[in-house]
Amino acid sequence: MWSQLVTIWRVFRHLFAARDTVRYPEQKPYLSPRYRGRIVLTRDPDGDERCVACNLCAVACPVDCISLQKTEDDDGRWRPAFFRINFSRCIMCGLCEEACPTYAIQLTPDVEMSEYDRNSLVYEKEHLTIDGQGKYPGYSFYRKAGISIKGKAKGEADQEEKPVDVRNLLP
Amino acid sequence: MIKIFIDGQDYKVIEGQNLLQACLSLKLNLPYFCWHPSMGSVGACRQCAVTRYEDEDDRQGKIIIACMTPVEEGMRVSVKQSQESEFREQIIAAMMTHHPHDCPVCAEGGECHLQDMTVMTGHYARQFKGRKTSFNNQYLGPLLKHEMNRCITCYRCVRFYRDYAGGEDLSAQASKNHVYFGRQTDGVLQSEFAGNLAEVCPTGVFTDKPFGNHYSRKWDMQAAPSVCQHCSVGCNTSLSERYGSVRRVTNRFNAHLNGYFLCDRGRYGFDFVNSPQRCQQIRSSNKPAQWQDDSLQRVLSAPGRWIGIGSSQASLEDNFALQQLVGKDNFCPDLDDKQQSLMQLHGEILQQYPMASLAEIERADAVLILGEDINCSAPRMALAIRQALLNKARDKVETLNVPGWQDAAVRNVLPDNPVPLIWFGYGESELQSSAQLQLLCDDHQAARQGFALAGLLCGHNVGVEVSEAQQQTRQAAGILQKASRPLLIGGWSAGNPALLAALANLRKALGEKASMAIAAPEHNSLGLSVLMQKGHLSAASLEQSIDREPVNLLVLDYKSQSWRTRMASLMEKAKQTVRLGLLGNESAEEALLPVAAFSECSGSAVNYQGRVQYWQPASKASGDCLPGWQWLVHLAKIQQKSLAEVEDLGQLRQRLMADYPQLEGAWENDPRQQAIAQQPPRYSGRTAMLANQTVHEPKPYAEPQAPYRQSMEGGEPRHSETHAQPYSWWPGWNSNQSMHKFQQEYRGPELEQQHSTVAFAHFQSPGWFKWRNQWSGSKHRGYRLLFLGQVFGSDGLSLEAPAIAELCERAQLWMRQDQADGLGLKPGQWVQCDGLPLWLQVGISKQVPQNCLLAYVPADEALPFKVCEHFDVADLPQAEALEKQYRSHLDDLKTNMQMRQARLLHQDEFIPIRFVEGVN
Ligand code: SF4
Ligand code: SF4
Ligand code: SF4
Ligand code: SF4
Ligand code: FES
Repeated sequence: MWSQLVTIWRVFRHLFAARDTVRYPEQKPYLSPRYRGRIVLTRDPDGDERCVACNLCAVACPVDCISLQKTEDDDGRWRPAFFRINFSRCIMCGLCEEACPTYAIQLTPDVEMSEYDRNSLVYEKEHLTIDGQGKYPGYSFYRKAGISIKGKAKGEADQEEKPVDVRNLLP
Repeated sequence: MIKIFIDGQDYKVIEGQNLLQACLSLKLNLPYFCWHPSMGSVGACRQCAVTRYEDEDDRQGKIIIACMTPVEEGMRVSVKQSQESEFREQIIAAMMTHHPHDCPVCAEGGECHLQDMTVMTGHYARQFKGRKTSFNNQYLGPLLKHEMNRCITCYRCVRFYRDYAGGEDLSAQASKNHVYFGRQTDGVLQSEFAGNLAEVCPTGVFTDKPFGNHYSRKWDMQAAPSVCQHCSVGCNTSLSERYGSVRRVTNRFNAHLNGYFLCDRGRYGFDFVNSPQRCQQIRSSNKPAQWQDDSLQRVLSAPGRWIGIGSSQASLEDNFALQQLVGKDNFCPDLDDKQQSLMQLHGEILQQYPMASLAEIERADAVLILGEDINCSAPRMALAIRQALLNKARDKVETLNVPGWQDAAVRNVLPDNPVPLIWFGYGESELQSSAQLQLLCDDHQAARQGFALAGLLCGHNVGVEVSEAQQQTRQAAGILQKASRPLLIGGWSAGNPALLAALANLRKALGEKASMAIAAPEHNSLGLSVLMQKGHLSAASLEQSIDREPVNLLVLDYKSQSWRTRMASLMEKAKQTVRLGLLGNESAEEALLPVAAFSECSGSAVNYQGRVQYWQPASKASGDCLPGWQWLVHLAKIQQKSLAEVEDLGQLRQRLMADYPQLEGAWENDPRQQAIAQQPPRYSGRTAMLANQTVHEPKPYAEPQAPYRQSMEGGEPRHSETHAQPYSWWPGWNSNQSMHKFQQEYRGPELEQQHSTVAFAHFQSPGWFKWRNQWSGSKHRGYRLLFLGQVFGSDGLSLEAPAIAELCERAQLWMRQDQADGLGLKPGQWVQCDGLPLWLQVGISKQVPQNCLLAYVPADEALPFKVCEHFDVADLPQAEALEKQYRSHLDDLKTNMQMRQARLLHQDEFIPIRFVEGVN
């Protein structure tokens, strides 16, 4: 009996307590830039696609909702021919971002992704790619990698010697 | 078996091995790079270091290189202590100082032995702050990509390419950290085994180029155990698929056949399954049609005699279903009577003697090659013969107490300890040039000498007078008599059954010590030999019946121009023709039913040894395609034949076994066993790859009762004892080096029994083959044409693979210098034979017998002559026009390749598959 009265009293007291909830969507909460929401594909400092279609994000994804196919441009870059994320499956875990060796795939604080039709949650590359570099400005994978692409021959990457002259016998 | 102690634990290992091999056979994880089970040890990479202790009380020990140390009774070593682990980590660290930051854009990534070993040793951060060495790459042809920065100088590539496969144009150049593995200049790698470098090289220096162009990671590919379709060896392969298209072929270890290596025709030829020429649609009178169409049904149910024409490029099941449908007397296995008699004879020989597997070939200590260019007709067999040539040198080093796996030692004594190789025949090839004893002769002569040689060996005449024997034949008799494991090699490429008979006689004369291998042209030529045992229709009587009465033809597709020409003339006379087509849409048949390729349905073939091997589908059929036997069952329903009762492949095989009891047990399928998952455990993208078409993930597709499932669900392949591995993988071993986890041990000293069923019952008591009159050459005017093959060009199916088509040579005609002078021809000129429109380029060779010329014609051209009298030489404008034509052909190939690439990429995005439940 006593405990029931206490319970009623406590519930009653809550009527006058300060509110924890906000009036979403009129009022938006602050989400830090590291918050894990809608995924984007970013570009490198030169404005080229960062993604090299290495498939690491896809394999890291625990729900297997990323699929892509590698192709190679005439300029020697690897690039996804298509890149698809099925957001109706995505759990925003951020493992793809962790796995990405080029900072191409990044999660953004945009969490407002509701649709009436699941099909509308299937994003292709053109929906995912943004114009900027996202959270990691300044990094360009091809400046570090050993393969040559148009505009960067062998020996021109960061910390690389000029190519060896195989015919040279000098020590 | 001897006892050794590893990390204090005692193990039993086989004597004569090296320590690395022993550890791997015990399934211990010991990193290594340069050692290869088929190539022995050279100790180049220092990665396999372990500590050896003098005795139980020795706490310090010293570091030794496992791959260079033979196991000894009571030996004590450790592989897990800190001292050797740190040593190994430092080796990797040193290799990594100059390694490029390439993994994400490296086609080796995800199946890279270097990645695996780096993780295994625990090395993770580069200490080196200097600049990295860089190298320029080379263009190495359409098959391999070169990215030299990634090399760790393990020397495996040159050891394989030069020492193992006999190639000459790849070498190690420069010194210290400038060592470079490549050619002198850019250019196509010449060896037909070059493609193996993609698997042999533990890094991404050499990678599979066509695969790289349409790339997928290993973990993403659905794989299936398969069998090569490009020659009669039937090498075991693994096919990989992604997004509905087949991406590549890799080697699947088979201790008895291919071991660790394939030839390039097998590795790259599979691409015909992605060809735009593939039949995808039912056609009736050269127009797209539906199965229910009246016109089509009328054709298929036509009354009158139906004659079936089998194909050695189709599976045993398809051919059997055809034989069942039309009846054995209406089943014509081949349009060429010569081929039919070879089929029959090869079958007869198999009933008398078993044929050597490639592993047995590698054990020979004397080799006779009789009238066969084995380098072209069965490339992998030629590679095995090349290994046999080391046996004397191996024996020699063993008498000096050096183990046979000390590769450098063996190669050192090789020049003084050759295995005798005897070559009777014509044409230049790798094996011909390494032969010790040669007799230049045409196929008739080779066969007669073979008969005479058999006579010399057994002491009485066998069909041919012993006195006919030439000097070389007498020498050969001495060599073969002395040898303890002589090997006899022959084949069908000369088209002469007498050669096969000669080999069988030689085998009988030499007795049990000898072994024999005869190469057939197609992967299922021997399957037709099996079916022929029940009777068949010869090509000659086929023509007669066509002339006599109106017949309906039911044809299994065969890809070669000479077949097409023959078929076309038959079709004109036949009432109507129904083709079960694989390739080529435009043609004149009344009905075309598209069949599924070997990558899309199960099937089996019989290899040169008569062994039944079967494959599993890696992908699904698209369009209207059905397996050939299924079309035939549908036809049987229309025509009300008993074949109509067959419901699935299992039932068809039951019937096959009932008719040919020796096939009993060829297809082991225990329905209680869990089906094997064909997709690797980290297969990605399942919930996205079809999402643009439907967000409802379809149920995985499975053939009913199939032992494999195209899904991630099912038994783990690596835990299955009975099923062939779809792909090779083990935790920590993502590369194909994981193979050792599945074998009892790497090609041990004793070879276990081959398990596959032999399709030929041994029942005849071996008798001598008599010389038959039709085998003697007839008199002719002019030159006899002897046909030669090429690895890239003679096989019609593989020519549909763009990479192989690029390497295919144009038709050629070889002659000796004196013949050329007599004819007034010069090398490089283009000639026509007796007015036939085909142009052949003149080449000069010493290996041309009297009164003969050697001709090579690619499979997409036909030269229907056996003799030729006069030649027309192309004049300058004609020659120029030919060159122009060839250049535009190459350009076409390039455009086709781009179009194909675009089509495949589109197909990846919109996967065109039927049978996925819930889609379409
Ligand atoms: S991990 Fe990054 S670079 Fe690799 S495929 Fe994904 S987004 Fe592209
Ligand atoms: S060879 Fe291996 S370690 Fe080197 S870049 Fe390629 S995948 Fe990475
Ligand atoms: S190219 Fe490959 S196989 Fe050859 S030495 Fe370098 S890493 Fe070894
Ligand atoms: S040797 Fe024959 S079976 Fe083996 S890979 Fe080459 S073509 Fe295929
Ligand atoms: S594997 Fe032993 S030294 Fe290379």
